[in-house]
Amino acid sequence: MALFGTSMNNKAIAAREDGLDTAQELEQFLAGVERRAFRMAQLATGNTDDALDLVQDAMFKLARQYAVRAPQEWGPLFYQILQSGIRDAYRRSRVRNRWRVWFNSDDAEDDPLLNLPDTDSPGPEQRMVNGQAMNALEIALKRLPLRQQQVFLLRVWEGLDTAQTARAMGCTQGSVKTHYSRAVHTLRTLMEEHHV
Amino acid sequence: MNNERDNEFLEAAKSTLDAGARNLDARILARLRVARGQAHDAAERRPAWFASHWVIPGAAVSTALVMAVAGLLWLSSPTDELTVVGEDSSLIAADENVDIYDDLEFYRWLADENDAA
Repeated sequence: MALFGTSMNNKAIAAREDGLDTAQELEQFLAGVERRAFRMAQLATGNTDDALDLVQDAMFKLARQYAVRAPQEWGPLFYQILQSGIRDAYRRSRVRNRWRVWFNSDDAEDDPLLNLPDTDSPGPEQRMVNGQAMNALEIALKRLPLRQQQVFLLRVWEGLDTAQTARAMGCTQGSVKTHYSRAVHTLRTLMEEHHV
Repeated sequence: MNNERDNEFLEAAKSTLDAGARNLDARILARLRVARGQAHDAAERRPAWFASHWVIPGAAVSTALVMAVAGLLWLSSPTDELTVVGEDSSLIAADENVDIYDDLEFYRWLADENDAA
C-alpha cells in the first residue's frame, strides 16, 4: 500500500536531502498522488473533466495555503481538500439530477452490472481478464454510496489510517470503520456475484 | 479464514486500481501536468515564511503606533487652545481699558510730540 506514513514521507525526506526547495518538494508529492486522486474524483463524479477540475483545485489550494506545512501533513490535507470538493460536486449533481427527474421522469435506471461481459466464456486472454476486472471493480465502486466508496479508496488505495481518513472525510473514526466494513462487504459480494 | 479472504480481495482490488491509474490516457496526464505546474508556481509565489508570519503582527504594531500618535495629537491640541484662551482671558480680565491697546500707536506719537515740545 502507498502509505503516507512511509512512502510519501520518505520521498519528501529524500527530496529535502537532495536540496530541493518547498515548491519542488510539493511538485514531487503531487506527481506521486495525482493519478490516484484523479481516479478517486472520477469514480465519485463519473465525469473526467469535473474530476480534473477537482484535482487541479485541490493541488492549487494545497500549494497556496499549506505548502509551508511539514511534508508529512500534505497527504491528509490534500485529500481533505479533494474530499471537500467531491462532496460539493456531489451535492450540485444531486440538485441537477432532481431537476432532471422532474422534467424527464420516463428515464429508466440502467443496472451497469447487467452490462458486464460474460466472464464464464472459456479461455479469455489475461489482458482481457484484467480489463474485465477493472471494469467490474469500477462499476461496483460506482454503485457504492459516495462515503463508502471514498473511505474504501482512501484506506485501501491511498493507505490512510482511520484517523487520517476521518479527518479527510470530515467524519468520526467510528463512521470510517462502519463505511469501510460495509464497502468491503458489498464490493466482495458484487464482485463474486459477477465471477470476477 | 475470513481475514485471509479479505486481504486477498483487498490486494486484488488495489492491483486493479493501480493498473487503472497507470493506464490513464495522454490528455488526462497532460492536464494533470499543467495543474501540477500551476500548483508549483503558486507555491513559489507564496510570501516567504517569515513574511507570512510577521505581516500580521507588523501591521498590528503599525496601526497601534498610528493610533497612539493620533491620540497624542488629539489630546495635545485642546491644551494649546486653552493656553491661548488663557492668554486672551488675562487681557480681557485686566483693569486697563482694552481701547488703549488699539490706540497704542497714537499714545506713542503723543508722547514723542510732548518730548519734542
